[in-house]
Amino acid sequence: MSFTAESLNNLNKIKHIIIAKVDNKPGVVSRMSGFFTRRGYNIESFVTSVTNNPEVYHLTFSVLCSEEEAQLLVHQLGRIAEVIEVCDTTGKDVIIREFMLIKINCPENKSFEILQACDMFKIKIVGRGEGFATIEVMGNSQKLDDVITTFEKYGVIEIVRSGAVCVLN
Amino acid sequence: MNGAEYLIKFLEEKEVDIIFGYPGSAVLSLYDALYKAIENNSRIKHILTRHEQGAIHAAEGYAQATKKTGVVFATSGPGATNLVTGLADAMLDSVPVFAITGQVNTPSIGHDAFQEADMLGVTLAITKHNFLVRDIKDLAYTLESAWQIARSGRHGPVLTDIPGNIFNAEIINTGKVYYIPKERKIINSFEEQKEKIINLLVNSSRPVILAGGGVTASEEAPGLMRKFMEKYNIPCAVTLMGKSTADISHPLALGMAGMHGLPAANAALKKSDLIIAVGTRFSERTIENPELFSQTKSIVHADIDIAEISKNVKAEIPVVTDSAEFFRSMLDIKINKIPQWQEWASEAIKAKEKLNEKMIFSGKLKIREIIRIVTELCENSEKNGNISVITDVGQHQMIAAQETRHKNPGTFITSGGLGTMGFGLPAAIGAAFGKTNGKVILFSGDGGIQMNIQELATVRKTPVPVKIFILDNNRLGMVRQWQKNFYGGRYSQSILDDNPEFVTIAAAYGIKGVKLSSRRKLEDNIKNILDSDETVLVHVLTDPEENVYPIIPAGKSNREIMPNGEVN
Repeated sequence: MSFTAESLNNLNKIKHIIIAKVDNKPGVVSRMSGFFTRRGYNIESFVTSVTNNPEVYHLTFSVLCSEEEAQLLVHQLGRIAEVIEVCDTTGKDVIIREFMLIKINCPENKSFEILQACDMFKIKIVGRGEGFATIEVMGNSQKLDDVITTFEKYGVIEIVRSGAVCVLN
Repeated sequence: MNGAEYLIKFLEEKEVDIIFGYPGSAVLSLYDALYKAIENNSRIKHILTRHEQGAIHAAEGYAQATKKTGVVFATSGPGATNLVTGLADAMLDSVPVFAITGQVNTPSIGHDAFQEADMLGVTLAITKHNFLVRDIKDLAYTLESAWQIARSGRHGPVLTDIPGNIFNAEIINTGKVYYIPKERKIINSFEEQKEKIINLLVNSSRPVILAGGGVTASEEAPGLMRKFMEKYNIPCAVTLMGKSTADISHPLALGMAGMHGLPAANAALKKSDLIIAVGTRFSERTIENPELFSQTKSIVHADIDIAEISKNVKAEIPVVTDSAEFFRSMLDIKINKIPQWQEWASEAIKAKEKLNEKMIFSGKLKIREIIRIVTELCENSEKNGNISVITDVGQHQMIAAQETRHKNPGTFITSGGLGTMGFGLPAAIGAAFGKTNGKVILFSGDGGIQMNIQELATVRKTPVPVKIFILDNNRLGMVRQWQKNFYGGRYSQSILDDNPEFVTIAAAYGIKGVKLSSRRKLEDNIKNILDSDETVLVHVLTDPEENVYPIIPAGKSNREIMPNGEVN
């Protein structure tokens, strides 16, 4: 196996899930998302949601980066005036959930096999058409990845993932 | 009271004396409110520049010279977009600027109305924060927030975009509003790190201070830093933005470090085993190669902005604090046995001796020669006390950074981070408006001056004289130098051999102009220019072949200095 400079560079990069509470002000989402492009962070998902407090938004983003980069990122986000609090959840006791719709090839002769696999994952088929099936999956990101790996052999037509949401336990 | 009148009252309450700006359709109400206020003997004076870029650079120059907040007005659309370069400049150099732009009426926003530009979107990345006021009831709180954010913690530009109908709307409640910044947990405060710093310091045999713009921006920090240096005999290097904090004439000062830094400063940083870096972001122009920088030495990095610490260079001991607070606490520490740093200090400053050697200049006039003469004349003359030196960007900027002397911190103003050509003249105007006595010296190049030459109309009105030295080598000197050194001497688009007669231009604007092209009576001529009480434009014809040395080529380690063109 050979290493390019880039792959070596990526070795110590892991997925960091960072959560932030921000003021619900116009433009706050573009301010936050624009930040990642500007600083060149490799962002996987970015989820904005309302909270029990209408004045506060909850943001969850997954970023592939090193420990040092994650720390710097948290500090840089902390500079934004609308950010109430921000924290890197890596290493903390957290609950992470993500939702996915996956559409796969499902010929008649494979239906039973696919149903069995769904049972194993405790997930269900929510849509069925000529030669394909749509499955909904909820769980942590690892589970979603495992589902994709399992169904890859049937041929994946489309995947839509919501991006992770996360709360500190 | 309408929104516009409220804004003027707000600025009066914030003790703003000077606004730089340019009117236009979206800010007609604002300028009307200003007119009425001035008629009623308001403390506020408005300086009409000839371009919005001139206005914002002037606000920057004013802010840096006075340590107050620079205030700038511009209209919507093109007026506002003309502020962009200045906002980016103020952002990188952490200058407190309070910018007000007009916007089209709220119902028209997003409809591509006449002179509409999405300033919130445009300036998102180049302001510390920005606001769009969509409702008159938010105006008071927004203005207060903008003002506080510009000045709190690490300073920076804040833009408030105000639609025309908000200026006209009646303010309902004019009571006092307070902006309460969000409380953030302070980690790595000085108290927590004190023991570790003392430990490092006691065990260090070659400590150096590296002072940046964060020290310059503070009222007290430069004085405290000097006391700290003297108490323990620690030599001090500065960055471009920190230049005036430890004047080179101080026995322990090493001068500017970095790409065009002085050999003494770069050598000391290289040899040191402990760097106490305060108020600096370790820009790549200061330290060249960040990766090589921290490998062999300990770094204490004190900065008010936690996001700067370990961004470019890994800090062994991070300290999040104000630079004045840092030095105050460092002065308080008790070191029982003070290590023998005298020897190291004298070794470090020995390399400085060369600086005082008389240089013999021959052939055509040199930029360095002119800057040296001006510096010496200013130093020797009591009459020339209280001088601020402003530069544009390029060769003359780096030479000035190497040569000029500053008794008072904050008297060297330059576009450090962004390197904005065209910054010099308007910034000098801004600095001059911040002064009641003394004078302002501007070093500019033939390229830079022409980027905002229209401000010669504004420079006539300054309360103290501005001495404008245009060091004209008929070249974009720094570009030419790099093309010579690194691009095989192919001078692509860097030759300005059709420069105008600057003295004639000065005359057209009603400014005294002097042309200098020979060494005959050069010192006397410059002395007369400096001693006079009027603004003078000095057109100096300099050598097109002059280069700035030393230079460390970009991306190389501190080892590869090239004094006089030789690669070491």
